Parts: sequence; C-alpha cells; structure tokens
Amino acid sequence: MRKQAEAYLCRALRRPDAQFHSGQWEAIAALLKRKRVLVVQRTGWGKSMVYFLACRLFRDQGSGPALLISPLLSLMRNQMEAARRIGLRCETINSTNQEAWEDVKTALEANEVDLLIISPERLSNTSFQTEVLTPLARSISFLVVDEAHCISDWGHDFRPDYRRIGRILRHMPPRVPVLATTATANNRVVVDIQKQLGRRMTLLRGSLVRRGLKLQNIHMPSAAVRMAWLATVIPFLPGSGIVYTLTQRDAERIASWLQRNGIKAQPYHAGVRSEGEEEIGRREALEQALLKNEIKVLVATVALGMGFDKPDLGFVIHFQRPASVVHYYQQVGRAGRALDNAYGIMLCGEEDGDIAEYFRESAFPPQKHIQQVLTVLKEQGSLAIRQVQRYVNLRFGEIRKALRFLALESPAPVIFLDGKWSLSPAGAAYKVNSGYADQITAQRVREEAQMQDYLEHKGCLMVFLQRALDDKPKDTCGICKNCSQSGLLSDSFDPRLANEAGIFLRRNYQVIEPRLVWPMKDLFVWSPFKGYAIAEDLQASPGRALSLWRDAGWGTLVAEGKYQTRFFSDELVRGCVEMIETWAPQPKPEWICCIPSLRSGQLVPDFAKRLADALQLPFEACLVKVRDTPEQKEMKNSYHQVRNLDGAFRIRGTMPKGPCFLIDDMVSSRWTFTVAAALLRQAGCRNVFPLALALNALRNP
Amino acid sequence: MSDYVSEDTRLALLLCAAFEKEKSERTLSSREYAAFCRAMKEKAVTASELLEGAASDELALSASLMPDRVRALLDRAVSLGFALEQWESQGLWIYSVADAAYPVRYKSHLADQAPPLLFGAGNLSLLEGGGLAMVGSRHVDPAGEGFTREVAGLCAEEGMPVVSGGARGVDQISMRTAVEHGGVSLGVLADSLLKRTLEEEARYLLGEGRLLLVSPFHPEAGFTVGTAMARNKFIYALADYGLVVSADHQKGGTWAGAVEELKRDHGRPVFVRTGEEVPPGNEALQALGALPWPTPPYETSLMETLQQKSEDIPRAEQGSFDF
Ligand SMILES: [Zn+2]
Repeated sequence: MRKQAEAYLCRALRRPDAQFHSGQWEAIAALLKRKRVLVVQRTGWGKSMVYFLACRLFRDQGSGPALLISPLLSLMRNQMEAARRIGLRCETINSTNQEAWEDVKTALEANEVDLLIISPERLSNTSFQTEVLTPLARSISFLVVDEAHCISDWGHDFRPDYRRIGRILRHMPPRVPVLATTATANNRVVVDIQKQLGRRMTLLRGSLVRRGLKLQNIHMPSAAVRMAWLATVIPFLPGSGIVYTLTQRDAERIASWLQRNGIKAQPYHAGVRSEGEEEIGRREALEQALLKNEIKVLVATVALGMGFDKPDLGFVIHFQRPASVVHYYQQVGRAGRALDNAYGIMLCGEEDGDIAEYFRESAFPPQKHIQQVLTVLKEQGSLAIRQVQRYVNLRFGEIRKALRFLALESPAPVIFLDGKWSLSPAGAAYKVNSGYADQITAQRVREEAQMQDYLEHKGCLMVFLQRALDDKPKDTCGICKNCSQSGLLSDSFDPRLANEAGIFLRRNYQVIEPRLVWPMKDLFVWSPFKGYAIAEDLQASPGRALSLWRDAGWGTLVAEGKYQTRFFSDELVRGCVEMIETWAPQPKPEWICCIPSLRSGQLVPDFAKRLADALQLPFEACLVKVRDTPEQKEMKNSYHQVRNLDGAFRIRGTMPKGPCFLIDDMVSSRWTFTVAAALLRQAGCRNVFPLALALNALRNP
Repeated sequence: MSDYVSEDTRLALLLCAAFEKEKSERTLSSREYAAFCRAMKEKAVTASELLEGAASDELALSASLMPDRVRALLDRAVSLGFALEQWESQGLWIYSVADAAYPVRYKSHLADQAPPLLFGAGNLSLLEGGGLAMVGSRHVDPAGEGFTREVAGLCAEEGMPVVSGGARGVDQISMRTAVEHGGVSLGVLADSLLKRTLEEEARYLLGEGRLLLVSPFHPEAGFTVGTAMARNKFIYALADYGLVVSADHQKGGTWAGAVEELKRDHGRPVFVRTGEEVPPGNEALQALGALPWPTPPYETSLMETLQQKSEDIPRAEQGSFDF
C-alpha cells in the first residue's frame, strides 16, 4: 500500500523521486485502518497531500467520497493541480455557489465526486444541513476537519460554528475515519480535540520551528509613525508580503496610504468586494495576485490566513498586536518557508489594547440580550428576526447574535423552523451559562498578556513562540532581534512622511448614504410620512462625516469636544471646510441648519454657526425640538430609533428653499438625518446634505 | 463517543432511519430489522462491532437481505453524525428496541411490527404507556365531542393516561381535556414531531412533564396517509384499552385502525361509543367485536369496569373473524 501511495505522491507532485515527509505516511496508514488522526504540523508541511492520497486510496477500494470541512474559500491552485493529477475531482458547496449545488448533487449521486469541500459556517444553517448536506453526506466515507483547533473551547479562535462540528464528530460511529489538522495547537487544545475525536485518536505532531525567519519587535505608539515606517521600509523588503491589521477599516486605510506612496498594496478582509464581482471571487483574485508577486503587499485582517500557502512570502508585518501568540505564530509563520531570509516584524501601537478589549467584549452576546430575546419569543410566539425588533430595543445584529448563540447550545432553547424562531421546550428552563463565557473571556485576557510578554521578551523570540505552543525548542534561533544584531530593520522613520500620514489619517471622510425606506410600513403617528418607501422628494442627498468616532485623526478631537470641553474646536471647523472643498456637493448648498437638541444645548448650533461663518453662508435655526426624547443612541434598532423621532422635530418660521447643509455631531443609524431631512424637504427645501463630525461604525476584523 | 443514544440505537438509526425528511426506500422495515437483529444474535456480532466497521455481508445474507443494501445503509455514518447532532440540539430523545426505556408494550404486543425506533420529547416515564387510547374522526359531532371530554376527564381523575394521535378533532380534544383535568397524555404522532414540540401549549406541558410526544418517523416528516395508517397500531399498543369515539364506515383511518386491532391476535380490547347519534361506523365496529362503552355511573372505578368488560369477550373468537 505504501508503494502505491508513494507512486501517487510522485504523480501528484510531478517529481519521480518524491518522498513522504515524516509523519505523512503514518497519517495515511492510520486513516486506512479507519482510525482518527490529529495532525499538528506547520503550514506547508503537506497536510493536503495526506487527505488527497488517503482519499485516492479509499476511492480505489471502492469507498465513498471524502468530506472536507474547511474555512478555505477553495483549494489553492497548486493543490487543485496536485489533486487533478491523481484523478481526484474536488467540488465545493458554499453560500456563494448556490447555482452549482444541483450539479454537485447529481455528480455525487453518480459517484463522480471524490472530495467535497464545505465551509464550517454552512453547518450553522440548519435548513442547509437537513436539505442539502444530510442527503449529500449519505455516501461520505471519510471526513477531514481543517483548522481543527477551532473545535476547541481553548483554541485561540474558537468559532461558534465549530462547536457543532465537535458534536457531530462525537456522534459519528467510529467506523468513519477522521483526519483533523491544524498548524497550531498547544497541549490544552490537543486534549480538547481528543475529547471530540475519541480517546483512541492518533496524534502526529511535528516541530513548529521556522528556520530563516527573522523575528523583530518595534515599539511605535503613533499610528502615523508606523505608517511612515511602513512606507519607507516595505520597498526594501525581499519579495512580497503581508501587513496584518486588526480591523477592516485599518486594512483599507493602510492599503490606500501605501498606494499613495507608490507601493503596490491591496486591502484584504472579509468584506472586500469589487464591482460586479462576488466577494469570494475578489478575495481569491487577491490571493492569486500575492502568490504570483503581482502585488508587493496585501494589507489583511485575520481573514487572510487559514490555508493560505506561499512558500516564498518575504515578510509579515503586524501593524497592531494580534490577540494571542497562537494567532501571531500562525500569521507570522507564513513568511519565508522556502527562503533563507524572511522578516516577521511586530509593530505595536497605543490603540492595541483598546481594540483587543472591544473584540473580547463583543465575542459573546450579553446575558441581558439573551434574556430579552427569550422573553419575547416566550410571550409572542414564533417570530422572524425583523419582528423581534419591535419588542426589544436591541440592534438587528445583536438580536441575530443572541439567537445564533442560543441555537448552538444543545439542547437549544430556540429552534429555527420554517423561517421563524421559536422557543423550544428546553427554552423555558434555559439558563445562560455565564461561567462558560467568563472562562473564555479570562482565557483571552491571559492570551493577550502572553502576547504582551512576547513584545517585551529579552530572550530568543522563536523559542518564546515555540514554548508558548508546547513545542520543545532544541536551540535558540540565532537570527531574531534578541539573538543577533545583524540584519535588523532600522526603527527610524522620516518625520516629514509621518506628518503626511497624520494628515492622511485626518482626511478619512466617510460617506453618509441616504436611507431609502422606513423600517416598517406606516410607522409614524405624529409625523406626516406614510408608506414603506421614503418618497424621492423627501430623501436626503449623500452626506459626509469628517471622521470615524474615536479614530486616530479627527476622531479623538471630536470625542474631546463632545464629552470634555463641551466645545468643538476651530480646528474642526477648518477640517470641515477642507472636507467640503474636496467633497464639492452639487447643487452647491446655500445655507446651513443643524439638528437641535434639548440635552446638549448649544454644542451643535454653536459649531454650525461658526462653520456657516467660515463658509460665508447664512445659518438658520429653523429646525426645533418640540419633544424631549431619550437619547437616540439608546435606541438600538431601526424600529425604536424611528419611533423615538416621531414628532420630535418641527420647522419653525420661514426657511430658505435652496440646498442646505444639515449639521450634527455624530451619526450612526442615520435616522435622525433621515427624519429631519424629510421634514426640511417637505417644507420645500430642494436638497439636504447631511454633515457630521464623526461616524460611529462598528469595528470588524 | 457521545452517550446521547445507545450503540444499539445508533445501529438501528443507520439501518432503519431516514435522515432526510422524505423517507428513502432502502432503509430496513421493522421485520427486516428484526431479522437482522436475530442474525446478529446468532452470529454473536454486537452493535458496537458493526459501528467500528465489522463486516456485515454474512449477517445480511443470513437475514435474507442484500449485502449491498445493508452495507450502503451502514455507510451512512457521516449522515448519522449530522442527524444526531441536530436531533440532540432539538431536545429530542431516541430509543430503539434494545433500550431499557423502549416500551415493553410494543415488543410484546406488536412483535416484529414493533417500530425499530422511537423519537420523542417530554416525560420519559410516560413511555411505559397504559391507560386509554382514544381515537375518532377529525370532524367529530357535538355529541361525540362532549363524550370525548367526559371520558378524558374521567381518565385524568383516575390517573389513567390518555393515548392519542395528536390530530385535530377527537385526538386533540381528548389529550387537552386530560391535561386540563390534571392528567397526563401521550401523543403518538405520524408527522411533524419537531414542530409540535414548539407549539406553545405542548411546550408548556412537555416542560411540566405531563405530556409525551412520540413518533416512529423522522421528526420533520410531513403528513402522508401511509404513515398515518401505520401509526394506528402504535396508539393502541401503547394503551391498555382502545375507545373509538366516532368512525366512518369502511373508510378512514379510525375505521381501518380499529378493524386492524380487532383482527390482531390478543389485540387490545376495543370499546366503541354507542347510542342514537353515533356514526354508522361505530355500529359496524360493534358487529365486528368492539365492545359498547359502559355507561356511567360505574359500580367501581372506570379502570375496573373496563377490565371486567374486557374479560367478558371470548378472546379466542376475537381473532377469528373473517374480514
Ligand atoms: Zn532567537
């Protein structure tokens, strides 16, 4: 059998002298004996070859196809080719290729598919599971779980979807061979995975050490300074590489900053898309561009990672501190597998702790939300999420998050059936296991602390990483910053470039798109707006926000004015004037008004007046607040936000009919602008251009 | 491995359960499954050995089954993992013939016809069964409705469970009345088990431990005449006595189910509502051996009265009617 496997290996790699890496054949042999195998090996070791060959040999014996559960968007091109060379047909089923499902199904029924790939998030979709997956899985003879550390509660990126995979594995009779693979798992995670796979699991673990990777940490608190440093250093780094950021927003911004400085950079995150292209297609294209060195650098979030395999990646730079050592190793370990000299640089900034805390706190839905959602379902019966919004003052996303969390419990207190969420019999007695969430949160805090230790570590950095991952380092690496002084990257930067980066950060204008529909039909009681669609002659025009709330750039200045000095500085006035110059709204606004507030008094009107003076336009206080309402930011979803605004404003006196700017300090749901603009337009105003100092948007990894 | 279901049940699921809402025809019937279990016993092969991958061909042959078919069923192990995860999270339990919780009544009363698998929700101790099976048409006349309420209320007072099919009409009236009077009821469903557990009333009673919903079919199976018919015997078998409130003559599930039970060797005693306002089916059933429901007041309890009345039937004769 081994001979046969080796013959296939040679064919797959197109190298007549190809040999198994240590552990590869052992894994295949165990699978052929219907064992369960956990392989912990660094990226590039050749995990895919294990399941390709096992799959080939199983198929030769007449067994059914293999199922691969992987967050990978698709196989990398070189993997595809290797699979094809040994005659394997691989097919993917995911949310983006629904049109292909029928064909895949037919091919599976005809026994023509050898490897079926699905993404873990598909498993959270119960109707997908009953209607598509279960029938497809009928003949599956062998299961592969990629990135298996995600199954573990202790895994650094434990994902709710993987909770279900763990349970499925526990339910599956032992006759199914299972291959679980990961590049990073400490002992604790291994034990946890073992619990799901069964005690008789075979563990194959390789060393994680990475020769030729030069680790270096550089402390640079200011974002502008780090950006200047990136723009200076990247052109001199070998080959192409990756800059990791913590948020999508930063990935976008840094990519465009690098582009401005003549570097071929592209952003990569879960939300990238380009016109006429599917999101997945865009991400694939970006991965390919990096693989082929068509671009110098991808500025990516954690979304670029799993399965991405480029042996000659020249550098990995972290713009911010990642959440854990495991994250860091997984990301930095992509660099220089086939190079003698590659860079793994960590920059760390003042905002890192903040962002980490934000992600940590938003990992689980708060107990309060869960209770509220359960109560609504108990009192109102089965509801769709949109209907739940009426009864609880929670954001749509918060409701969805709470429901998804609950649906993944077992037994689940809520069940999604026929498009609606219902309370299940288990729901009545359900208690949130807050100990569980607390435990995970505490674990994350420890992981962050360890990451901080890494930054301050005085010994060999590679040894630190290996120890943290329960690998047994034999020796120091000899090339990291703490081992050797030669070949280090300088931490100096060009102050002029840093200044420019500061200005760039401040020119981070955000478009405020006008809303086109009310959250519900005929929602208003006091205001004269009817129907579901917002009539065209009541809509606002696209507006602008000067900054993102609490962002580097203007964001902090806005926060200071709002909560500390209670005065928006003249610097912000100048910032807005500059923004309006680049924005140049058409038709040109002729006057200025602002959103009135009983609570914050003169804060916004005062700013609007000064802006009007600077623009040499008249200020008209024609909008008045007639009803004291709770703060809009307390209203968490569209239904409640709009209800809260119903009848809150009125037009006083006469007002000009020409186009105007409508000023507010903060914008988040846009409903205040939408309602006020509708009133102004109803009173005859031709165009209303909303202008806010800061846009409050959620951070996404 | 998870202990959500026993090894035997895991095997029974592989062989007999549809993992999809529409039943796939290749799964084993109750009789085939029984034959396969006998073969396992003869050859001393255990469920866990089969689950670990032991060969099944010989077993299949000795149970007169096609080896390919059995192998294909056993190969559904990945689907089984998916299905079990889902059923567990939906809060359902699953038992098969070999489990201690599986109702003895089914094994003794139905023999090879006993359903290999039972899906259910609610108070497990009720699965022991007993009490009165109440059946009747979906569109019951007012007199029948009143009668149903009266009898179900009485059952509740005497602590007799009410077993029914959970359909509209007599089924639901009897089950609801029983719990309203502080009793318990058992619903033997032919379809939509999962959906029924989510209905507000059922959810509450399941939580209270006063209701048991059970079905031999896929928890999300839709209604079919075939499964509804097959289900009748499972209602009778779970109770001590049967009562037909109203039956059409020569047609409909109530008629067919009652006739089936009257025909069975050692079938459950079947009572039928009598009187001037009853549908023609009721009278016809009486002619076939159904006993007239005793009119209250009873000298002793309802339970004892039913016991006495059923001792009156010449048992040997009951099974020998020629239909
Ligand atoms: Zn070192």
